[in-house]
Formats: sequence, structure tokens, C-alpha cells
Amino acid sequence: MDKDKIKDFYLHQIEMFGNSNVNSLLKDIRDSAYDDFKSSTFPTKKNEDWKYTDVTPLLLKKFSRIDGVIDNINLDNFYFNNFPNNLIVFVDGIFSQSLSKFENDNFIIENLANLSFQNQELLKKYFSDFLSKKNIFTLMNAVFVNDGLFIFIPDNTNIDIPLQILYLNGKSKNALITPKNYFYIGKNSSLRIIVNNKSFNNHLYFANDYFDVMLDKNSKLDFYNIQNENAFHYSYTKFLMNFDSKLTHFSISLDGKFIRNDIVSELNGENIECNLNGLYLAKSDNLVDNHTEIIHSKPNSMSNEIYKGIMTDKSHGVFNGKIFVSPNAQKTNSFQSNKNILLSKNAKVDTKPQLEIFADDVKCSHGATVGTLDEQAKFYIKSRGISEKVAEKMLLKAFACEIIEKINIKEIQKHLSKEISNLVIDKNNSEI
Amino acid sequence: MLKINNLYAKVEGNEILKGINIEIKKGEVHAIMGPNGSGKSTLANVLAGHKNYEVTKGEIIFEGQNFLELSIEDRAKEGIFLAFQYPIEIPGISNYTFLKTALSEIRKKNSLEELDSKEFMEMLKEKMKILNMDEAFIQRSVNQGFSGGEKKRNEILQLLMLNPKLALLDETDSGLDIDALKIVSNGVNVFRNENNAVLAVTHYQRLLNYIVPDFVHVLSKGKIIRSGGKELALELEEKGYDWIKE
Repeated sequence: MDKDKIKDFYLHQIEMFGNSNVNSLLKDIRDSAYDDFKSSTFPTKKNEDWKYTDVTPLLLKKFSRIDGVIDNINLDNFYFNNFPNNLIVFVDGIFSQSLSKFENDNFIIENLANLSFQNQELLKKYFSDFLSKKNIFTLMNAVFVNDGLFIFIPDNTNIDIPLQILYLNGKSKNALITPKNYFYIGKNSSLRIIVNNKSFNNHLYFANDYFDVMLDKNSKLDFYNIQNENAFHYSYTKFLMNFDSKLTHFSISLDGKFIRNDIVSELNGENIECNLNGLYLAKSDNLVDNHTEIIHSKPNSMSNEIYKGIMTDKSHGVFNGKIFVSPNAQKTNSFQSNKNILLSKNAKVDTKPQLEIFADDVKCSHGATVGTLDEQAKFYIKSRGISEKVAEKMLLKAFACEIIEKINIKEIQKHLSKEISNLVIDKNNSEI
Repeated sequence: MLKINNLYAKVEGNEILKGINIEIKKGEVHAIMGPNGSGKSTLANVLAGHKNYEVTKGEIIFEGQNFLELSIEDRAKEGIFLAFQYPIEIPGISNYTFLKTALSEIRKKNSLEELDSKEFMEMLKEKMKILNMDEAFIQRSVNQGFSGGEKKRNEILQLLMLNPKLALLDETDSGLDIDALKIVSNGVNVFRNENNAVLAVTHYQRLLNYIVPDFVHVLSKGKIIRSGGKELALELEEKGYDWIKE
């Protein structure tokens, strides 16, 4: 495949499938993005937002949209099963009614392809511009959109049990998976969401998903986005936060051939608390690229960002954390930290904090580190009779615990600890 | 128990130890004294197996075994314990996890069953009482945010829990006020019995008021230049190291 011709390939697909059998919402979303998609080009490393990440491997593959629901799947090993009755399942980006188990009458939860006319109107009311950020990937997600999830939590509604959204991907070969999700958390309401991305088998696919999330006044959202896949994944998440709201987001990448996450959080009110946490474990020749953007546009809010990465083998990590404080966002409190451990001399990481502060009465700090396991600490642990292997695992867990401790769902905590224990340290390359 | 024969060692290419000979029998307390830079800490680290210290000549025989062939952790399992001069802070690992893991490794080596949580906690609390340590330390990260004195007490707590055959004390008195020094020394004296031994490396004599040595060795420029009984320490305190170098 010639990578310059790949867009023609996708445009051709769009022409072929047309808009005939989708509802007006999906049609409107597609139409809103088509012209821009047609005139966009895929980024190169010359593009500032992509300077560390080469998209060529993605452009050398052909992915195709798929039709139809697949639901003859045994889900047992794929989801966090402490909340079996709060599970929404998508297979290759398409909602599966029969695999999902969900009982609710407190709020609205419906997939986009089957969204009632009334709820389409509701969605359009709150998310009038379907696409808040236009880059070629979000545009591609929009022009190919064929399903996704709409959640609407009314005011004064607290949902106790976490809601798990399982994106089970790769059931079909070379699938292009393009769900679009709109979540609205009403005033004084709260919700916990787990987005659990899993590869079904070894079929390569391209998941390109989009989350548009609104936190209304004094609402609270815990959002876990867990990627455990062997594929290409572009993910865009946008939070629009209103007065007194609180977000705690976790971006957890455990496996993935090529992962790029763009997370944008707009703090559009006072007394907001925005917590962005990240943990990425990159293996073999994985790429994990996390781009975040926190925009303080009103005074007296707080953002707190901690991203931690462990890179093994020949993997590559990227962190770019942008913090923007507008001139009237006085008394902003903003903290950012990115720490990385390289477990092999062939692994690498690029980290770039980017602070743009236009107010003078603010507290902002940032820091980034790249290192290896602390040799003195290792000596200390081993001098108590603990083996090298166990000492290293203890130190890796200790490194990640700052993130893991913040997670208030035990099953996820356990899962992450196990993933860290399974990391393989390249013995031949431990001397860096 | 321990025989060090004609030991030479290098750090970053510099020869620091130049022919050390010491023999320690069970039940004995030995003190190694010497000015800064004489090689005291190097000796302690070489015995524990730190990889930055390269042994170029000589041997270390512990309980009849060639120690130089053993890894750091195997030396610990054989029964050697280094109380660090500067204990390392390990954020994210609790004292509980750290000690429980270490103890189970060492018990495994000695064909003992792992203690269950209750037995372990009872033992831990008993030892903490000896050192006048607050139980809140159990859940805190290893040495993180501890004061100098708390770190040293934590070292002796580990010593009491792991109960090795030979305790190496590397400047254990440094940074301690007199009350803390008494507590720490008392911990070491509780540890002592006729079947184990102590090798204390110290710059000053004052530790030896509380942990009374059977033998004192003076180290200077990588060599032991004099050995004697406990009175040698007092003499050094009075006259300084220059006296002995002459």
C-alpha cells in the first residue's frame, strides 16, 4: 500500500457504503465531518503534535468498516466481573444487545445506532457541535461512525455501581472501529465509568474512538480508560467541566501496538478539580503516545496530572502535557508530573511539558524524569535476602503505586499489580 | 564464623582495601575504627556484596563457604546483615511488605515455614517495643520521610526480625542523639548471643560504650594497623588517630 494513497482508499469506502441505512443522527455526524476529512492529510513528524510519533505503520495497512452485530462470544475472560449486571458490550465498535447486561431506570443509556428520536434531540441539544476537535483522526471517526454510546445522567442522580463499557475489538479481520460516545453528567450527579478495551484475538485492527464528556455543575465523574490490545488505537477524549465539578481520569495502557491518546479537559468554571492520571506499560515494539491538554479558562480551579510509564524491550513512550492558563484564570493551581522507567537500553521515551500561562497569580509546577530502577534501592532490598527478580518487581510496583493507590475499584487495582508483576526485565540490557 | 584473608578491593578503579585480615568467632563483638576514608564502609559493603566494590585479591570465608562467589541475597540468606550507614528510602513499599518478604525468603532458606500474618505481626510488635517504635511505622513506606534516628532504629528492627549470624553495623551511631544511641545499642545487645557475632564499623568510640567490643581493629589507608582489646578504643578517643599512624 502506498501511504499517500491510503486516504483515497478510505474516501472510496465512504462512497461505497453511503448513508442510506443509518439514522439521521449518524448521518448528520458523518456529513458534518466529510468535507474537512476530504481536505485533511495524515500528519508527519513535521507536524508539532506528531513530532515523536510516526503514523506510517498505520498508513501502510488497509482497514475496513464492518457491518452487522457479532454476539456469539463467550465474554468470561474479557471484563472486570465484579459488576456483571452493569455491562455494556460493543463488538468491533457495534453495540451488542445480547451480550450487554444492564438494568436501569435512573438515567438514559442507549447506543447511537438505535437512539430514539427524542434522545437524538437531547444529544444534539447538549452536544451541538458533534466534533469539538478536528484533526484527521477525529474527522475519520466521524465520517465512519456507525455506533457508540449516549449516556445522560439527569440532575441529582448518584450511580453507585461502576458502569463498564467493554469494547471488544478484532473479531473481524482488519476492522476499522469507529465508535463515538457522548456522556452527560447532570448537576449534582455522580458516575464511575470503566471503558475496557480488549483485543478479541490476534486480528490486527484500527480502533479510532471518540469520547465527548460534559460534567455539569457540581457533578463528579471517575473515568477509567483501560487499553489492553494488540492493535492500532487512536483515542480522543474531551471533557467540558462546569463549576464545582470534579473529574478523576485514568488512562491506563497495558498493551498496544500503536496507541495515541489525545485528552483535552476544558475547565470552564470555578472551583473545578481535574485529575488526570496515566499509567503506561509498553512492551516489545509498542508505541504509547499520550497527549494531554488542560485548559484553565476561569479562576480558582485546580488540575493535577500524574503520568507514569514503564518501557521494556524496544518500546517507545511519548508524553506531551499542555497546560493553558488564560489571562483571567487567576488563582489557578496546576500540577503536572511525568515519570518514566526504562527497563531496556533499546527502550526510549520522549517527554515534553508545555505550559502556557497568561495569568500572574497562579501556582503551576511541572516535572519530568526518565530513569532506570534505583540500583541502591535494589542493593538494599537484596541485602535483606530478597532475590533480584522480586526486588525489581517490588520497585516497579512501588513506582506505579502512586497511580494504583488512587484507583477506588479493587479489581482494577489487582489487575494492574498483576500486569506489573508480569513485566519482563531485559537482563542483557539492564546496564544502561 | 568469618575469616577475611588478605582482602584487596577497588571502587571505581581506586584500590581502597589493601590486605585486610580479620577472624571473627561466634559470640564475639569486633569493632573497626578509623578515620574518614580509611576503608571502613568499603569493607562493610564488600562483605554485603555491593557490585560497585570489586574484590581483586584475597578471600572471605563465612561458615566455611567462599563468600565471594555468592550473590548479595544469598549472603543475606547465609546469615549476614548489613545495617546501612544511610538507609535507603523506598517509597511505595511498606515496612510490612518489605520485612515479611525478606523474612519469608530467609526462613525458606533455613527450611522454616513462612509465618502467618498473625505470628508475623506479634513478632514485629515485640521487636518494635524493644526499639520504642510506634506501630504506625509498620504501614509506612520503607524509611520514607523517617528522621535519621528513625532510619537507624528501622535498621535494627530489621536486624532483630531477620536474626542473622553476623551483624555488620556501618556507622550505626552517626546522626544519633544520646537517647536514640541508647535505644539502638540496646537493640543490638538484645540481638547478641553466644551463637552470633557483631562487626561494628565506627568513627567514634561512643557507640562502643554501649556495644562493648571484644576486639578493636584500627583501619588506616586500607590496612589494619593495630588490633587490641576494648581499651584500644578509649586510647584512640583520647589521643586521636594521628597518634597511631606515627
